[in-house]
Amino acid sequence: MNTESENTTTADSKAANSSGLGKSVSFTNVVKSYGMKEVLHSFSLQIDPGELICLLGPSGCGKSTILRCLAGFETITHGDITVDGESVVAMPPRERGMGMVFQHYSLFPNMTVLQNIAFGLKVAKVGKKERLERAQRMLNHVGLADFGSRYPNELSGGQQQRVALARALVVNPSVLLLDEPLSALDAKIRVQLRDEIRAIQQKLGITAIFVTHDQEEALAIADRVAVMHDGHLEQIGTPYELYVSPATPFVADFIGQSNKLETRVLPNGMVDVLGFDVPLLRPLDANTPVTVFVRPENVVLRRPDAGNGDHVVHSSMFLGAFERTEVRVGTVSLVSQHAAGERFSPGERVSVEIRPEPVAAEPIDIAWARHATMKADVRVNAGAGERQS
Amino acid sequence: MALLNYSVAIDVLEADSGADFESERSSVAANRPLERHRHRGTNAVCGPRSVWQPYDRPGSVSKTGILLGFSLFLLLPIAGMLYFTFRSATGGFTVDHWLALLDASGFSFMTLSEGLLNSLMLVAVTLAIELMLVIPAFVLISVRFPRLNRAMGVIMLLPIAIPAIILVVGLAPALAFFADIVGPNTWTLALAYGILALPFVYTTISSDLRGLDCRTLAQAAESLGAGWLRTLTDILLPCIRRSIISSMLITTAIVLGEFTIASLLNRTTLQTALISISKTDVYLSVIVTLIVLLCTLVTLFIMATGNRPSRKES
Repeated sequence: MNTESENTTTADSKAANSSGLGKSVSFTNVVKSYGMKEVLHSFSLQIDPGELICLLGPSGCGKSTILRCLAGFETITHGDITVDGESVVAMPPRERGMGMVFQHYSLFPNMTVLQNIAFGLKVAKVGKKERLERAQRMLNHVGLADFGSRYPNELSGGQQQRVALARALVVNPSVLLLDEPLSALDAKIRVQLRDEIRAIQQKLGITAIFVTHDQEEALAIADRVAVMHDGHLEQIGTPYELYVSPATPFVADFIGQSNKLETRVLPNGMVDVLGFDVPLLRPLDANTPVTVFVRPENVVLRRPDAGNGDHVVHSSMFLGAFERTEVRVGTVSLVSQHAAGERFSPGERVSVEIRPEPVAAEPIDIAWARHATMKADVRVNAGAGERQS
Repeated sequence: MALLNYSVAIDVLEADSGADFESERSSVAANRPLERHRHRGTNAVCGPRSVWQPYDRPGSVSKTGILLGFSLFLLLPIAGMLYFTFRSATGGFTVDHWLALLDASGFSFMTLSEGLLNSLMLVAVTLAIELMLVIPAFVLISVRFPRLNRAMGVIMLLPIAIPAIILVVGLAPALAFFADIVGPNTWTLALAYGILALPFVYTTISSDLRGLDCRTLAQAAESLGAGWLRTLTDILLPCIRRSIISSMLITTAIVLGEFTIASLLNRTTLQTALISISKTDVYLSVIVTLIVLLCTLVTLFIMATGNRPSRKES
């Protein structure tokens, strides 16, 4: 999420590209239907060599389908998928040379760890001595050097997923595909393995596609994140871009946390949020009724110097480095995120200020249609912020 | 659910009797008649029992009793048969009937050895059919067409549901057709036995396949470049090797024990041979039955010990 590290990571991957390992991937107007039901609507995406792209979206948005189409486990209805400019659509999965890591590890239970890793090389008819050497080297890479003779069921989930990663990488795949690889692991291992996957990916300079529904995961490791919704691409950009300037209300809502407030566009092109003029990310006609998405960190609470504030603190949540306080403003509750030092206790009266940071807005009639099935709640997404610090 | 209720029951018991968990446990143990005398001292704290309360394992006395009763029930007829084979027709005991088994020139021996050889050959051919054709087909169906699993479950029960006589009537023309091509060989009976064994093979294999995420395993292998044959031989079949062994043993038992179809199609197998010699030499048929029973017990023993989860499988 910070531009500087963004730049350095891209520089790294660019450097790795020169070694020629990473390949570019491109989806052009890919459509996938199951019978009458279209699950991917004209999906297009260009992935640079050596890039790690996260496909992020709620369950059922088609992100895994894209991965499976690229791997060859699903046939696409229309469009084209190319790897390094060469169409792979007509190839069976075994000829596509993709390394795939599955959510539930899917190690071969009848083989030892080393045999698992060496399997791909055995299929490729690499000599026994060489393949065991390469498998062992890859095993060292993922930090399981001494585990070669164990069977998968003797390993923990995190270790199994490392083996799965090694098994996918040992054959020098053109693209590494990771289908929610961390979802079955517990929080601490998840963060650790996530960082390791990123480190290995950068070291090898391999192009990788990482499917996840966990935005924290996506924002933390991706060069670019592709946010998907209902079978189409909502926005693709660096994690920072997605957070600061979401292209669509869905992205604004889905990435990070937002207070959703209903208001109107003012004649000057700003919106009125609780009496403060706040600029819009994208201009809208004056007087349009809109729902605006205000980030909790842009809601500032103050103790008035004298007398009482206008609003009552409802609850306060301590989250380590920062604190999240919920304030009742009229009929809605507003979430503010601030440094943990300033504490507000429930029942306290405070005044509220909205920072003039550009906000995403969605005209209300469309908002109604789009969110009719979603839970109408001020805080839809609990997630990123809480675990991040 | 049961666990939850159990803990609730324990809570209730504790509230009732004011006893702690440990003494509650011992009072539960004390409720068992066989061990009551041991815990007479703690019997006083016994509270109301819940139906959810798990029973302790049976004590060694009741275990021995049950085992003894059961083995008597099973062994008495066998002992009776054994006794019978040593009885002389003229009274007293003799080993002549057992020696007759070794008389290679006798009619009984000829029929029996023919039947036994035929049966063994049928076992081999049926096993080959199951191994080469049926089991790979089951695995491929569950990997490639998992939606067919429900239909398969029903279809695979048909050989049990359909009476043998109908099977024979249906199969006779097919077997006659085969006989035209390859001559009237006994082994063609294995085609019928292959069908007969389907339900048992399917049930054993599919329960093992269900526990295995064979679809993803196959995809993992495929993404690593493996073709179908390799995926099958290197991964999927080894993963279900225990159920393959079980289904092989069941198939063997079915083929060795089958009488109806062989008899109706007028083939000589172990079973039909046993029936025909029992008409001339009842002692020999009992002796052979005893031997077959012994073989069955050995097979069962192998199945029971071979099926224990080994270190490799979870």
